[in-house]
Amino acid sequence: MGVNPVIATMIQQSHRSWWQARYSDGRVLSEWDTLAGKVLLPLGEGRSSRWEEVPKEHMVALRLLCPNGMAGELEAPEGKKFFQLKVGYFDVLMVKGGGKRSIAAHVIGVVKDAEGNCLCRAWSYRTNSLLEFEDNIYNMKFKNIGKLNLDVQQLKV
Amino acid sequence: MADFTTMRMEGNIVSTGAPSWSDLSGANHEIRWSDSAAQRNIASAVWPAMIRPAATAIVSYTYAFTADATGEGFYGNGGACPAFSKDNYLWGRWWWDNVGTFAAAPIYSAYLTTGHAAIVRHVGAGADGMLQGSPDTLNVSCFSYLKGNAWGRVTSAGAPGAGPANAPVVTDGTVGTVSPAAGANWLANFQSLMGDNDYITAPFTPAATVQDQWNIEFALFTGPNMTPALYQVVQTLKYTWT
Repeated sequence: MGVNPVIATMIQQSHRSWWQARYSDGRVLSEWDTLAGKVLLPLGEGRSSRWEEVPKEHMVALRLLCPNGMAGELEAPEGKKFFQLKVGYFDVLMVKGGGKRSIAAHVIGVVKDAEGNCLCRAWSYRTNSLLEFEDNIYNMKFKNIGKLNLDVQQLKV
Repeated sequence: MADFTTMRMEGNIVSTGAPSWSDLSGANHEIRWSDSAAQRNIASAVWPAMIRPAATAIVSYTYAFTADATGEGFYGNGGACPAFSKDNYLWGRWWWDNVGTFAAAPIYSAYLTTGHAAIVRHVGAGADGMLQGSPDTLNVSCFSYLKGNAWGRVTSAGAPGAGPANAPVVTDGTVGTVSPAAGANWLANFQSLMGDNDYITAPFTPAATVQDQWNIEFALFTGPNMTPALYQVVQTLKYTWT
């Protein structure tokens, strides 16, 4: 799954990470391909991409393309083993008031066994770094996420 | 990203029978506390100081301000602010729109700032901060002075019809996370809201792309060991989306 230099530059300038999936027939689906808007490029926030509507059958690899030029890739045989999510905060300020939203991390993962153990890669928006860690989808320790909703992720464990 | 377009924290400024939800998340909107029941529509520049008490006590009056000098008490109904009561069970709620999809259960907590840095829980003797706790809040551990409670289902599945079993006390708290039993349930006891140390995890993942709310109550305590400071505490809905 190569990324051409123009796309790589757009990702860098978007200041966010993007997922990219590969299927067993060689097809590649990028997060920006699923945006609701008319411009299907990795520009800006790119809202309204819906992971739950992305085909999971025959997905064999999931990649996290990061704004620092790095990429983290996970592989697995076919079988709905991949998940993807973002974790963030909605804060209500007690001083000077107002609400503020922020993103802490963008996580991709692959389930390794029936116990829910998983290998994850995450782009940390706090440290601007690509992380790799092991966790468990039934009680994600990362950022205290807890149990993932398997239906939303369409995971088959 | 299938993030939400709008999220809010809302406070009820009228009554249980006819709730009126004030947005606490808009620009310059504020939650304020006082030991005076007569602070509706009082500008922040003349907001009265509260003398730190000799013994621990709840800060009885909570206000929802939408501009510097425009604000009502929680359950104030246009008049004097009533003292906090757990039985004012339509107290507050988290609100989200129908755009986003939660990937896991949302979490209710509080942080020192929007930086969400780890909070060092107070140990031993001596004074410490609002969320760090102090000997005032010591139970099995030093807990936050800010306590929260949460309902066991989204509002569309059924809003609260009564308050939690127990009123909050300054030593309330459980290290780590607690969840109300799924369904028409509050936590029996209030939880300490202390960043990633002590928090409340919803017992549900809300339905995808459905506008809904999550009912909550919160109460602030103070005491002789709370260090005087300009606290920039935030109440937070930590959440995941796809």
